Amino acid sequence: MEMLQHLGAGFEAAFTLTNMMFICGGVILGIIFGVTPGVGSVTALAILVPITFYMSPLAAIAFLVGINKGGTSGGAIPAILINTPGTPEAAATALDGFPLTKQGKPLKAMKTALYSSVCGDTFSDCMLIVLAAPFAAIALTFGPPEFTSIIIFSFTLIAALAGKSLVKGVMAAAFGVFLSTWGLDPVDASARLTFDMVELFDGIPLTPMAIGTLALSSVIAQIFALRKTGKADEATAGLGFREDNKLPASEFWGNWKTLLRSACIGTGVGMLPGLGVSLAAFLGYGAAKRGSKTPELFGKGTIEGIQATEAANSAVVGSNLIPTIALGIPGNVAAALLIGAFMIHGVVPGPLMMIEHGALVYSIFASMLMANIAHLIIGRIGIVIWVKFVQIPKKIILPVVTVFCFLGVYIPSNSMFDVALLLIFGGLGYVMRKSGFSIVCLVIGFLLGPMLEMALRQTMLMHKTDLTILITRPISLVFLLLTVFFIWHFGFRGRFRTKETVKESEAAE
Amino acid sequence: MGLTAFFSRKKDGELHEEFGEEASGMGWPEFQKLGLWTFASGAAWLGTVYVGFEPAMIVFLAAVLIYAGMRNYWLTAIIAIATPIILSQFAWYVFSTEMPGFWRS
Repeated sequence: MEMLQHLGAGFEAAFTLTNMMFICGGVILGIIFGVTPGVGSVTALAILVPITFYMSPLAAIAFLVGINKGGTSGGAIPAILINTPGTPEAAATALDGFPLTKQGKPLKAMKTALYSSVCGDTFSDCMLIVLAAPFAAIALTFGPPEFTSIIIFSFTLIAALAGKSLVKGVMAAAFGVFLSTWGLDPVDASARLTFDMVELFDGIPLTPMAIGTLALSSVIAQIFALRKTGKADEATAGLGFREDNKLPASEFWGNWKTLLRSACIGTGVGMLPGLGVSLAAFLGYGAAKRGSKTPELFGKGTIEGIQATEAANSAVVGSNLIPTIALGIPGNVAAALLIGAFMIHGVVPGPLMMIEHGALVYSIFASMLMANIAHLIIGRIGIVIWVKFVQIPKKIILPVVTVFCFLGVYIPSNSMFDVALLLIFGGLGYVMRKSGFSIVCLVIGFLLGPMLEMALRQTMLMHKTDLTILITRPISLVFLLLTVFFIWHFGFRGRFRTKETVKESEAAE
Repeated sequence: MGLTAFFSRKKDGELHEEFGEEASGMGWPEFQKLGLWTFASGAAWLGTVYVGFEPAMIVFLAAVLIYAGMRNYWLTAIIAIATPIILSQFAWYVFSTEMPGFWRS
């Protein structure tokens, strides 16, 4: 009850014209930044945090939270329309979003993405309001052994995302892990495959790698396909029929379990520092595919795939503030930038924040909930504008997107080395697409590799190389058992069943 | 992984589930296209580094537009010239980022 009273007071403080304008402005800017491949909400936050110095603390945080929300979902727009994810986490959205566009249903795909984003966001904001205070005690029990087990569990995604060839999926993921080892050793700072290049001391950066393999390779493949088909006046599938682009409430809410599961996954991932939005998106997609009654439809244009990804990646945004506010530990780079914004305004995140700045905290919570409504309205209006891009011929839009990729990678880093990496990974991604290797598995391996290495090495250092700690700690044991179960159930057992089914059908013929 | 990619030939009914018809296997035409991409992207990168973003991207964009099938050369020229200039101005005024160019300090 006390919490509701505080929240009510927060709404009263936050529901001002100035605050609403900053929220709406933040959402619009976030969507625009998210649409540009390589830029995303993190770059937008980094650039705009200093501007908030002149704003009130509430308006500043509301503005930045709006950018974060808009940026996370903005990446889905090019992913759906032209198979070019604006942000790495939107790569999973493209798996089902772009096939829907090819079927002439881009509006339906974008509505699904938007509504799922808002649902996931709202769920995690509610969890933030409820859990921010009690989370402090639970978060302190998660240590390197628990993180090691969670990341090992995350590798089981490969079985769900590798497609027909598990071997190729594992090879792609292993290659991704190998690429992630380049750079200085995180413990003893020895150089690993840096080739004496200073630019590689921090390892291969994620943005050029992800945009190159996921977005640029798709553009390259489509341009070559355009050349081959010789359809000089080809547009994309177009807007399709009005009926095809409707999204009945029954169809959307018919997958409420997927939405809830993905929102829970995203909230859980967001609460744990360091795991990232991309991981939440892929975990949500993998879990939805495994739990679906029609897993064979995933990757062919099912709205359930879009719902799973968007609900999960948007749910990270709110829950990221749980460790940020409760412990002063940023959940990811975006949360770290928000901490910077807090400190600019004299607010120090941590266990005392709720006590010393309780009114401000609840006003921020209220602003976040209002930002979801603004996101829904602005996003819905924006869909009508964005979908016009579908009518622009591919032969114009694809080359221009190539230049956007150049710019998007150069802006955050001011480095032509990153642009070179973008181009190299674009070529690599093209080869992988043609030879049937899963680019998504490559990116998962690249994301999880350094996390696993850091967590495992910390575990070994803290517990004197005694890895039995992974099975003696209860939370860690739970995740390891889940890993074994998923590998057996969805990996080996699923493959044996598929082979038996194929043999039976051949025998029947 | 490279060997597997090299020996991935298209077989009827064995196209990769994730990419569908896109996974056509790596044959000689695909290696030619890879070579073309390597040349074009390398030239664009070197042009950006040693000349500048706008000139390199104008040439690169024009070439890609024509390759993709644009036959309206006036429209091609307008898009190829306007896009890099607008984007570099956008980068400067929004992100305070100066794109490479030998005429810039």
